[in-house]
Amino acid sequence: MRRLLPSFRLAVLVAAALFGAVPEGRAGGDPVVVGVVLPMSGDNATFGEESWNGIKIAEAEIAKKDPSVAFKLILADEQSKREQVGPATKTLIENNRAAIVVGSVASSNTMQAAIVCKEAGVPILTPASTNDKLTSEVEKYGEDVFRVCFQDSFQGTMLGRFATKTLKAKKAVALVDKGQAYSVGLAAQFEKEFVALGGTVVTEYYTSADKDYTTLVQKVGGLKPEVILISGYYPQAGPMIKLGKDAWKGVPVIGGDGLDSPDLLPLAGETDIKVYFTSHFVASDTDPLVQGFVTKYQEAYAGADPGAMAALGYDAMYAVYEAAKKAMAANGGATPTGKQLAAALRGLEFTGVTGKIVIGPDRTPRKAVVIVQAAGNFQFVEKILPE
Amino acid sequence: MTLRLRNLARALPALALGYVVARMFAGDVGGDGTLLDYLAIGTAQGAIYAFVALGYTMVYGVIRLINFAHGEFFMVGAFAGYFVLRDAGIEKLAWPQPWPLVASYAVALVAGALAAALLALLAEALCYRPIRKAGRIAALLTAVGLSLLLQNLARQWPPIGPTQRPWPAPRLWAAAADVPSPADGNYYEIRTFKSPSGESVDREKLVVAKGQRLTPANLQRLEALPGPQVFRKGELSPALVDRSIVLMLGLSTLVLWFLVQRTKTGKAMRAVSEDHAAARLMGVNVNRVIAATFFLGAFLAGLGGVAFCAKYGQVDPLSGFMPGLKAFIAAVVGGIGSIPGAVVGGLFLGVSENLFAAYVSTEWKDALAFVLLVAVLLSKPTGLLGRPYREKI
Repeated sequence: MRRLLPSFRLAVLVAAALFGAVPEGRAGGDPVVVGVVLPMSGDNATFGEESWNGIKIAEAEIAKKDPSVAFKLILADEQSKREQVGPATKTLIENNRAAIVVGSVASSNTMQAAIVCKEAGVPILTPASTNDKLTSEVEKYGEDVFRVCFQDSFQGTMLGRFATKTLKAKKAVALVDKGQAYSVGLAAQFEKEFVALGGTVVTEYYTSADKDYTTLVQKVGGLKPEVILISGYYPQAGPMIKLGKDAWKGVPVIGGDGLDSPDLLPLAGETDIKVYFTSHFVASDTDPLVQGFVTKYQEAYAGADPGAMAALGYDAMYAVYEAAKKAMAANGGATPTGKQLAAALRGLEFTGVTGKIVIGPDRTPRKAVVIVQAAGNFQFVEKILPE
Repeated sequence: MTLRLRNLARALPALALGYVVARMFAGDVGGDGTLLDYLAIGTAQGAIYAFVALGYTMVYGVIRLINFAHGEFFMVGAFAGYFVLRDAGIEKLAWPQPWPLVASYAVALVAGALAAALLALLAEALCYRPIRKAGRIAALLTAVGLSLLLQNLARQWPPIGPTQRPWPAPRLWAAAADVPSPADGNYYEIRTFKSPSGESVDREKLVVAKGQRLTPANLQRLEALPGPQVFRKGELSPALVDRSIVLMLGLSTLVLWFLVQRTKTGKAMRAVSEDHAAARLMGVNVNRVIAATFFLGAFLAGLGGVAFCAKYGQVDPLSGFMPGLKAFIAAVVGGIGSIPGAVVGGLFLGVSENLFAAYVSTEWKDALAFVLLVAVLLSKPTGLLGRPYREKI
């Protein structure tokens, strides 16, 4: 027993060193640790890849122009799997001591990250998760969930209006994946608006585990819709559009920002179906702010056009930077803690490449939605500003 | 009387199948969501299940092993086809269209089938043969382990990776200088060889299409890219792939029947299936027969893998999982160990699944397969065409 005691004491000391509380307000000059959780592999890999590219461009730019705030970015791959998000986020917070978490993309996944962040008392800023519940269900996801994108109640309403007013459709079929909060939420908002404007909606369900949508696509074709809403993500939407080549007889397809991926067109193949989706940003927008970012991105990444996820990643990194600057000014230049960053994010205002971002009391900016047509490439159709 | 009824019960589905296939080849199928459409979709889907089920059933017939790694042979075959289609450049052949397209698909099929078959040979020699005497449970566990191993190796191996990839559309060669006026309604595709972080990638990026952004500046930018190549996109329509699948299934079933019933190897296979020891005593090289069985089964799985992924347009390390599972169910439903059973089981599963999806619920489609399995096993424990089980006393 006596022999054991010293080693026990040592163990306690080591444990205290490893898990000990971090003092509030770290000394100035330390980098702000930003934990980034994104789908870098799996189904939604292009979302992760583009977001990360955007974040890296922003970080390099910030490091060049303002050496007073240093950032340390740590990336964790959530593999596009819901069950991987929690552990990945926990690692970022506990092992890497992230002061703030940035991520993820799919709303259902960000919800998992938000639950972990709420327990740990760390704020989370999502670049691209649009489901309303993330910021409205405070008791579940906490007070410190922020985003730099609009939410589905806005996006879905705009889709409903676009379908009625521009496409002149009265009868819609909505394809919904019950396993994705994003898919359910977006379709519900679309239906609300579409029905209010005098249309009817028939809902059909699919699952993302399924690889074969041939029958579903036929069934939708048989319902003779005037517009088809694919409420979900590109790995499912692309093949559906491909299979719809014959069965949908040119009925236009609409979707949300989940379709905004460079993989959408290769998956959809050559088609004469008109595909429109709502998004945050499109590279063919002639707005100088957008074109400035497109040039930067093309220089950094071998001439590739940035998608919306890249632009949102860029804006998310800038939001963290602006918040850190604000927090440092308020706290005498000390490296900000998570709590201070969260306080600084409230009411933050800056102009990003996806538009002017004002983080209001509901922690969601009011922003313009861009309607994009996917025909060979992503073409700018129109930009609708919020009322 | 009962005999006639049974004949009728067999003849009717066969006639219906013949009718559906005939309409498929006549090009009457697709578009309106009629019963015929769903039957055709189900037949094509079922044909893929049948392809994979044949491998399950043959291996089971010979060594009483459910080879759970069979779905991974399917996936490896699909990836082999993917690489050939992406990199071999067969589509550049100076033949009149659409022959380069058809040739590249055919080469991809053969490459996929051979890759899967060689992998199966390797797996049999390295994993199954050494433990053949250790009993059926050990073999079953080895199969499950091998399945997980192959899936995860594929995830880790950089050329494959964990991320799902769009199936490469066969590209038709065109030099950048040949890109016509912006009014041309064709699709063009650019391959960039450097990824954002510098390593080479294969994600094809559509930069220019329908002429919309084909400005001189744009073209210059493309030409400045590291080794840009402009291709006209060619594509096999899903309907064409469907027909090829049904045709291949018909041919393979005939070839298999001939192999098993009319050749010496086939005779040896049947002998090994009856009794290993007796076959060996009669001078049959049991190891060779088992290896041949694995080879044939995986060859078909590889064909199925390429066709499946070409139809649905994507491939990833888990591509073989669901089709493998469904095919296993198809093999059991048809009567495991029986070659016609695998074909019947596959078609039965494919058709009923798609009819269910069409008229009841698309969401519960995958669950139906398992319900069918239970229902068939309850009423006919040896499957639709299985031989009744004889208790040896």
